[in-house]
Amino acid sequence: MVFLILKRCIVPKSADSFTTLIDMLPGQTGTITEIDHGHGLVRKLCVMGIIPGKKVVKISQILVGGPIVIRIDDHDLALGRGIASRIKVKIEK
Amino acid sequence: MKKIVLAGNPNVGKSVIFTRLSGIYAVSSNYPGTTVEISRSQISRDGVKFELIDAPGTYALEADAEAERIAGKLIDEADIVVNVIDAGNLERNLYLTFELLEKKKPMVIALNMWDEVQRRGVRIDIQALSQILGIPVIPVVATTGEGMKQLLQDLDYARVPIIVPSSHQERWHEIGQVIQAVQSFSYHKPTWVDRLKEATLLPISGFLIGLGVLYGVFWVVRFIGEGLINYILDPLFYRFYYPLLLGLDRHLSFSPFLRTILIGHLVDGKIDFEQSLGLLSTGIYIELGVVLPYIISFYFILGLLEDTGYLPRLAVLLDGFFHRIGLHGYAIVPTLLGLGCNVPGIMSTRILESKTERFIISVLISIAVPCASQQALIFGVLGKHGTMPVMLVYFILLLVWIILGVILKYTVKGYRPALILEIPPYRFPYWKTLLPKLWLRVKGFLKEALPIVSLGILAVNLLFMTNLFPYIAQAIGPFFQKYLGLPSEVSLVLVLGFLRKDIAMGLLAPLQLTVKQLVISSVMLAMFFPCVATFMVILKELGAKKLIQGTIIMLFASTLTGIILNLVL
Repeated sequence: MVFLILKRCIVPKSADSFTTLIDMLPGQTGTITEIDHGHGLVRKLCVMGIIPGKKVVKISQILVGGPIVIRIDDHDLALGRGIASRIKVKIEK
Repeated sequence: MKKIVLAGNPNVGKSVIFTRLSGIYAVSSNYPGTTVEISRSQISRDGVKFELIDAPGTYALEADAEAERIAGKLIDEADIVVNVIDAGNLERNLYLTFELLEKKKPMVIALNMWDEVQRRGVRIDIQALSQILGIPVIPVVATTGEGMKQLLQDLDYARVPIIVPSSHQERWHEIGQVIQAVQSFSYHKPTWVDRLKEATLLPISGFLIGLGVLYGVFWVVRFIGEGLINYILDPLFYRFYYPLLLGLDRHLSFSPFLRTILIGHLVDGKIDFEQSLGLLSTGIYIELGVVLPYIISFYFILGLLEDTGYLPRLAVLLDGFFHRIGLHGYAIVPTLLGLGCNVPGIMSTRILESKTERFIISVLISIAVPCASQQALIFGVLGKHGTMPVMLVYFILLLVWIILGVILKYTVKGYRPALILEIPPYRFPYWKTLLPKLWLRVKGFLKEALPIVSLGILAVNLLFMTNLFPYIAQAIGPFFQKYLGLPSEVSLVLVLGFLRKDIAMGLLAPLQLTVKQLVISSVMLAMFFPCVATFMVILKELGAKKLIQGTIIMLFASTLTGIILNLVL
């Protein structure tokens, strides 16, 4: 628990262009700006509708290194942390 | 005969539509990846015959997973493609639709879950959609059968789409335009039900709810199982079947051999359903009187969990743990299916992309995931000692699963893809899909189990008669006594468990074991050799080399666990 809190303090939260799905807080809304990953994964996300320009709501972040849950087009998706950390977002104020 | 292929994203209801149109039940659940085997059936309409094919769900046609390759191939062979779409998720579903358009096959669209969309206040202009794409669009509700007739009629109007899709980069842009033209939302404020649904996915509340659900599941499985035994099956057996057997026993007095085979030994001058070991006494009683009730209750609850859509949420909550042992989200689906029967569980590892992951998860399933028969055994043997010993067995198996997983993570090298898991909305389970699924699984159980269990009982009976039993027990028995703290008879039970786990059930019962011994035997039985059927499917799916590797791992793991438990408990 302490570790999690520490981690949250160290990671800069609102350094706009560097914000990823991981840094978003549950309940926040944002827009995907960039997916920084290899072609295979970008394509895989693309066919599921996860593309730059899409609005996302972060629903939850499961403990012990669990996945991130986001809502896109009114549907929920779980993404592993590795992937989530590569999806950059612009958080809506 | 024209081939009709049902194609669409995962979890849009293709299998439900298949069942509706063909009358042949294809297993369906409310989570992606239920269909990996292809179902085919002949249907006829107005005297014309068609072949209907249910393809595995896929997001795109040119992807790397086995399931997607299969779907692509099926579509190439199709004469008519029925693109099944989840109307509530139109935009994402249209991506595949556009890929299908490129195939230039005559197409119709079945816009499924139409009722759900209307409840949620989403408006879709069907005529506009049909005009833009140039193919018929039929709103349907597969679970209730609404729109199915229309769908069959409109197969005649299936045509090659007029739209010329652009390059892949432009695709979402194009889909966006279509969506704007045909779909409109009316905003609805989140209600407390929505909040509750969300709570099952939040870290802390979700975990607590998960624990509650699991405890509830254990309790209900026991409640239904014991209820069936105490109020229906035991009265039937003792009041009606017992006198029948007694009558038969008298008629068989001319042949002591036949009598021993069919009725078995008398215990205190009476037929004992658990200990007589006759084909008609113990053989029938174990299968129908002890295992069947738990099979029914277990599959009922599993079906309920599957159809509501809770399972993927549980999967998401547990993914952190999965991650630790080198597995990712999708591996949860095979594991969950493995809880019903290891065979479909291992087959469904086809949805995984890497061979390594398939091997790891297959080994984990066959060793540490107890199938319904094994669980019936655990409940049947330990249930009378309360819920705690039962949960202890599950806890030990979970622990084994985790430790084994971690070990495999560091010893088996290979590529492991990351988690992307779609979470389906909660749905109210519908009895018209729930009950046929239960019936299909119970029927499958009876068809497979009865002959093999009978054979096993016969074998044990013969071993007793020929005094071979004490001989075998003597050979491996000392090991069991010394290291596992189990009477030597248990060794034979374990060996027979290879045929079918439920045979072992009735054989443990008469041995008068203590709770500790029962816990150890149950854990070892669950871990020891998977049944013949699981063996065969591993051989078929992964090859002989992997099977042998898996078997060696299994032998080590189960023996070691038994020894440790004997020391610790």
